[in-house]
Amino acid sequence: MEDYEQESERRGLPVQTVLGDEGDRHRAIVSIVATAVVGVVLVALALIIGADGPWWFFALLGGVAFVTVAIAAWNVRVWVVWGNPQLFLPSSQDLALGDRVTVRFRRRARGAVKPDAVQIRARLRCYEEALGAADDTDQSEVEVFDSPVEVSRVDVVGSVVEADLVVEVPLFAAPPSMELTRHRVGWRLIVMIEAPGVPDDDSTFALIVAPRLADRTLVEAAA
Amino acid sequence: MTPILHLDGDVGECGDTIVGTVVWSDTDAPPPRAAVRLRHRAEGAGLVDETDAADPVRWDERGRFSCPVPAVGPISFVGRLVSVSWSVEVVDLGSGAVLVSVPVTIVPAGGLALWAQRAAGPPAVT
Repeated sequence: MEDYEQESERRGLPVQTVLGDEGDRHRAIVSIVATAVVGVVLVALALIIGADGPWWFFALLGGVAFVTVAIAAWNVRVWVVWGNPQLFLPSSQDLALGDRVTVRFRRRARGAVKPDAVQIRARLRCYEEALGAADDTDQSEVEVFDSPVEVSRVDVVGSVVEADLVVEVPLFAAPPSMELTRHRVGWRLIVMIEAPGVPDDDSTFALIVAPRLADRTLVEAAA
Repeated sequence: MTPILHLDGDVGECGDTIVGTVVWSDTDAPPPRAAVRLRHRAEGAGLVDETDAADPVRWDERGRFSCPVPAVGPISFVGRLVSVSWSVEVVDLGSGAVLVSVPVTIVPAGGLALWAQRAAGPPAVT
């Protein structure tokens, strides 16, 4: 497996590295802590209240507590097994409308990954978002574009899983990225990885699509 | 006192300029702090963002002006939740009054010809 940085240097291409969505990491920590706290409280309740009550109450409370703790433990396992995902773009420029770019996804597991059955799927999504609605309710978000991304190559060396993804930004189907005070248009690349022996996991990368047409689109239009 | 605002074109690209002319009647003198500004307005979910794209500009002795369009946009669009519209305004910066406003469409850089094709629709079958 050729190192992507060296490969890009050899081809004279600058490399832009985009790390995993910090928001995902934050949500994972919140999820782990919240489910663990709820599970522990439910177990305590089951032991304190349920022991003196009817058996079905004890069983119900205990069952819910068990499931909650199991979810927390699974989230911890996902957290521990997979390292931080990385996405390499072969340019320091933002993506453009009509662009067709091969990006490289890389994820390091903490341990060997069996290469025979690694499956990677990816989707490109665009969303419109209003931040802080007028009635002080939470932000609202609407997905306006969702398309599968071609996975052109998957490679596993030791504990590193790597995949090339062909990202095609539509010309008209969705607006480019926009960041205003109360409104936002954002793009996300979501990579779903399934590998035997390790938990399934999603990585989300925030991409920026500039309000310009890709060079290849201009060439095709001129032709 | 309402000036007449002529634009050389009502579609502009990100990173380009919107060019036009402000015409005042012979009897009306423009307010001393009148200027032209390019403004975009985003709406969605009951919220509004109104922003000047750049500092207001003055016209020359022939009434000509040129407003830069930011390279970062946003472009004009009507989405499922959010819509963005642009306008060129002649405004009295002293009172804040908008004297005249003309809508413009902002398209992605390099997209003028494609957008014009798209707006025209498919060629008619004869």
